[in-house]
Amino acid sequence: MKTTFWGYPRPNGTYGVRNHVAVISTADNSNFIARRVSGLIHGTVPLCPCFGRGEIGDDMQLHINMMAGLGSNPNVFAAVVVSLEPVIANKIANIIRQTGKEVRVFTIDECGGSIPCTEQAARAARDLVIEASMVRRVEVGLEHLMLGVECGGSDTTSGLIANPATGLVADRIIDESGTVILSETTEWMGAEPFLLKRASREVGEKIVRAVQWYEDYIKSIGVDLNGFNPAPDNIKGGLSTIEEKAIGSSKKGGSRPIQDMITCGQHPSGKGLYLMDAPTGGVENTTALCAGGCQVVIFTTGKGNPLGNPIVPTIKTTGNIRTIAREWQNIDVDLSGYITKEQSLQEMAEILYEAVLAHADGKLTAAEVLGDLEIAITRIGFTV
Amino acid sequence: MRKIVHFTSKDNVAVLLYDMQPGESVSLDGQTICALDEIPYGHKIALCDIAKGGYIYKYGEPVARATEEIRTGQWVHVHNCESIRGLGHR
Repeated sequence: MKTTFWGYPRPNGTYGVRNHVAVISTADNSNFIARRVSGLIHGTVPLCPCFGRGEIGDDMQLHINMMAGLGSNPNVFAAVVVSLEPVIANKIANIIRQTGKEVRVFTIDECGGSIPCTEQAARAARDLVIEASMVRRVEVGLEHLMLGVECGGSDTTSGLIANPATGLVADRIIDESGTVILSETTEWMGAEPFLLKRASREVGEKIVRAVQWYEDYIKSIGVDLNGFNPAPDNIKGGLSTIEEKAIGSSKKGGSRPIQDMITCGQHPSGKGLYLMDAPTGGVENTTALCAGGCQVVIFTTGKGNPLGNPIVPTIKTTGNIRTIAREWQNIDVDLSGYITKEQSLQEMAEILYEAVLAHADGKLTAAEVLGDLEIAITRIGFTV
Repeated sequence: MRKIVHFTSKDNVAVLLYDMQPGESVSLDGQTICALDEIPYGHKIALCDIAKGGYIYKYGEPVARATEEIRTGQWVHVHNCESIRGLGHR
C-alpha cells in the first residue's frame, strides 16, 4: 500500500501537491485586474472574492484571514496581490510572507490606474511562473498531507457509499499521521451521537455550542430549515430531513478521535481529525478548508456538483450510478461498484485512497481541467 | 445488483436502489416487503407500521418524525415525515 506522495517543498516545511502562482485580488473591486493578469500569464490562478470593501469587525478579519490562508496554502508557490489600495493588500501579503514565500503587491492607487496595475502585476507574475517551474517534487509521507472532506449535491447514496468510503480514507490518512478536516456545522445537527463520543468533554462542548448557534439563528429568523438544508436537490435525491443528511454527511470524517474544533479557515495546530466550524455551501466550505491548509479535498456528491477550488485538487466522487451516467464529465472516482457489483465499502475506499494519492502526485481533476473553480468567503454581518 | 440497504436492526426504513412500483416485493433479512406506493430510486421504504408522531430510524438514530400514520411498504419522505430539529417557523 502506497503511503507517500510527491510534493513541492516549501520554505516552511510544508509540501504542495500543486505549484500555483496565485493572483490574489484583495476585494471585489480589483477582481478584474486578477482575471486580466491570469489571462495574460499562463500558469497563474486568479483568486477573486466577492465583497471585502466596507466590511467591519469579525467580517473584515475573516476576509483577510481567508485570502491570506489561500495564499499560504502549500499548493501556492508564490503570490501576486492586486488591490485598489495598499492597506488591505499589505495586511494579506504580510501574513502570506510568514510562510517564507515570495509575495508581490500592486495597487491601482499606487500604479496609477488599472492598466499600469495590470501590466506591473503581469510582469511580476511572469517571473514567478518561470521560478515556479524550476521546483521539483520530492517523495514525502502522509504526515505532510492535509485532506479536507466536503459533500455537495448530496442524496441518499452519499451517506450510503461515497461518505462512508471517504471516512475510511480519512481514517487511513490519520493512521499514517496525516490530518483531516471535517466541517459543515449545520450538518452535525442530528449527528452528535457519532461525533461527541470521539471528542473530549471540552471539545464536545464547543461542537454543541456551534450547532446551537445555527439552531438559535434559524429560530430567530423563523424559518423551516427544510428546503434550504436539505436543499431541493437533496430532497429530490431522497433525503427527507437535516438529521438524515447530517448523519450521512458526517460519515466522511471517519471514526478517529476529534482533536479539536477550529474556526472558519483556521489552520489546525496538530495532526489527526479536526472539525472546522464552517458553513455548508460547497464554495464557501471548500474555500474555508483550503484557507485552513488542505492540499487535497475529497468532494462527495450524490445528484452531482461540478465545483472545485482553484488552488486545491477537488476530487469528485459518487456512488450514484445515474449521476455517473448523466454527469460523468464532472466525476473523478466512480464508486458505483457498491451497487452494480455489490462490492464492499472497504473496496470502494481502496479505489478512493489510490485516487487521492494519484491526484496528490499530480493527476488533474475534472474540475481543474474544466475550470469549474470558484471561491467565496462567508459573511457574518453587514457591510458598512 | 444491490437493491436495498438496511443500515441497522433498529432502523424502521430501508433505502431502495431502484425504482419500485406499487405491488412489487423486495426481500430483506428474510422478510418480504410489498410496496404500497411508487418509490423512487434512492428513497426510503417503511419496513413496519409507524404511528403518527413516531420516529423514523435510520443509521440507528431518529432522523424524522411521522406526520401521519405510515404503513409497511409505504414511501417515507417529506410528504409523511418531518425534521425533529431546525423547525424555526414554529
